[in-house]
Amino acid sequence: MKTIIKIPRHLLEQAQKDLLRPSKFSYERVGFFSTRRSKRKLGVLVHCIAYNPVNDDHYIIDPTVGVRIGPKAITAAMARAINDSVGQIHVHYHGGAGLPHPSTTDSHELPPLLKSLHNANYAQVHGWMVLGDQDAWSEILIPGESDTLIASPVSIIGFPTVVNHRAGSNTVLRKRQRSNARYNRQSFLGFESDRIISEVIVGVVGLGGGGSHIIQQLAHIGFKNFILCDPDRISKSNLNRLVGGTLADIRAKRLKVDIAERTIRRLHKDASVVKHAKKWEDVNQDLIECDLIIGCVDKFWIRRDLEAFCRRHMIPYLDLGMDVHKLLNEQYEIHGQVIISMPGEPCMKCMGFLTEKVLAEEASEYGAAGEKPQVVWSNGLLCSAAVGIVVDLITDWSKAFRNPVFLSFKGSELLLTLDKRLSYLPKSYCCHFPLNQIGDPLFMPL
Amino acid sequence: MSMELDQDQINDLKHYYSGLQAVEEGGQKFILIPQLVLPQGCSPQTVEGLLCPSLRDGYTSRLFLSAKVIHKGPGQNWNPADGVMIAGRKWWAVSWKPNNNSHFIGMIKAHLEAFK
Repeated sequence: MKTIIKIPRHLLEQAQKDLLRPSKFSYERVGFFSTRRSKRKLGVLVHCIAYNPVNDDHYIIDPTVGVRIGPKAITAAMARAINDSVGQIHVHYHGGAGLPHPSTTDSHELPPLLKSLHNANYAQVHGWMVLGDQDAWSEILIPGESDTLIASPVSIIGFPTVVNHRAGSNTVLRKRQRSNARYNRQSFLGFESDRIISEVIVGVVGLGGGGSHIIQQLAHIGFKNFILCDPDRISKSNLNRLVGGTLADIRAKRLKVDIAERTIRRLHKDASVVKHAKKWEDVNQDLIECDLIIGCVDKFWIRRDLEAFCRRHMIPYLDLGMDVHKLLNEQYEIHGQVIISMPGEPCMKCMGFLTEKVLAEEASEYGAAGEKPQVVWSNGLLCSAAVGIVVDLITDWSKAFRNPVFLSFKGSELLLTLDKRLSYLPKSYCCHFPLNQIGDPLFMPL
Repeated sequence: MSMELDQDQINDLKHYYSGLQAVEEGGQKFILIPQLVLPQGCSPQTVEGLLCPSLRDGYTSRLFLSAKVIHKGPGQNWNPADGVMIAGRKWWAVSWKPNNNSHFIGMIKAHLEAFK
């Protein structure tokens, strides 16, 4: 069973700040993450949705160990598990750059706590965790399993996003990868960038004018793990912009996912390409595996639903698109956008991009809007920006990418700028997708 | 932001439907009706219903069904045609704009007119 633990970055920072506070009662502090889960085909996603500090009067003074909490702290954790329908993960901080390790005392004293929490609510994931700066060691118990899981991969979701797949933890392998001349010209992305890029799983929904650009650039950079969705076959009117599409593909009525796979495999014979000639919602159990999803779709309601799916499973969602509008003076203008919707941060509704007005206008067309104008250069510009965001998000090469992104494109001026609506963003976290709604949907009896 | 579900209206709805549940997504609340009986002539006639009692896509309320039922009523435009994902499942709704009705029972009755 492959289980991945996901922690929103702001929650991780909140926990680290609390755990590093000086304590009168112990050498260190502890807390609890509340968790929810998403079921997958072969495992579980464990989402940390809240951090709960331990009250000062719930510690017990014991100079023989770093920290000891009393029954009140454990009772409070069990009460949260029952009352809030959540799991509880005991957490304390060891720090360090890599994967931290538990002490002998941790390994001896904390597993019994896990069993108490499991008894309080056996339907959720419980455990204990040692936090590092960018990773965490854990022992967790999944509902229905008898054995605990040790050191599951941990992803930190935010600006930047850290994906610890564990697959590349071999230092010899890392050195070999670093000496790979293929990526020498992008070595400024960081010592670990080749490994990070080659391990991240990217979902691309829509492989037309936008998606075909995206997968080509990602493959050049070294991305090797793709989950692709598009039910359509290439048509003649796609040839003005579908990168990699040929006249032979038109004759063969080739599926867009097959063209995309061919583009990737010409650069990486060993790439993992899971392709679906279906709508994304029909293959959502595969998309749940993605570390991030890029939506290149042409409907607002599809964006809305895709974003909701990504929020539910704590997957960063990157949306891009363009439209050509006829102005009052009979001239045309190209408008486009690149948006990153980060779980826990403002969503596309918060940013003013998805509004009831645009959704209502679209619904009134009954999907019969016909083929919309599209051109290759604006798609290319928007996709290049999107790929730049993806690379910065996971490698943190610029050390400057710390906030939500909403870029607007104006074709007549070839301008890609920060959208003004960003300055009106609420300072609080997203009210449309609160963290307590992450995980498989909770249908509450009325 | 989502509206709160009015408890009095929920209590009234319970007289007609059992096993009601609530789920929230994207700032909207939905009411799940596990056994929604559709008008005569619908196939299937019993489905799960998901009432969105607030403004969505230009409709003052929407009634989503767990299946794209075959029927001879006036509501023949499924919108979107291939259904939507809500709370991890696929749902279908016809394009139907009933008269404004702020009561949950009234909303459901008005939506069912589309299938008569």
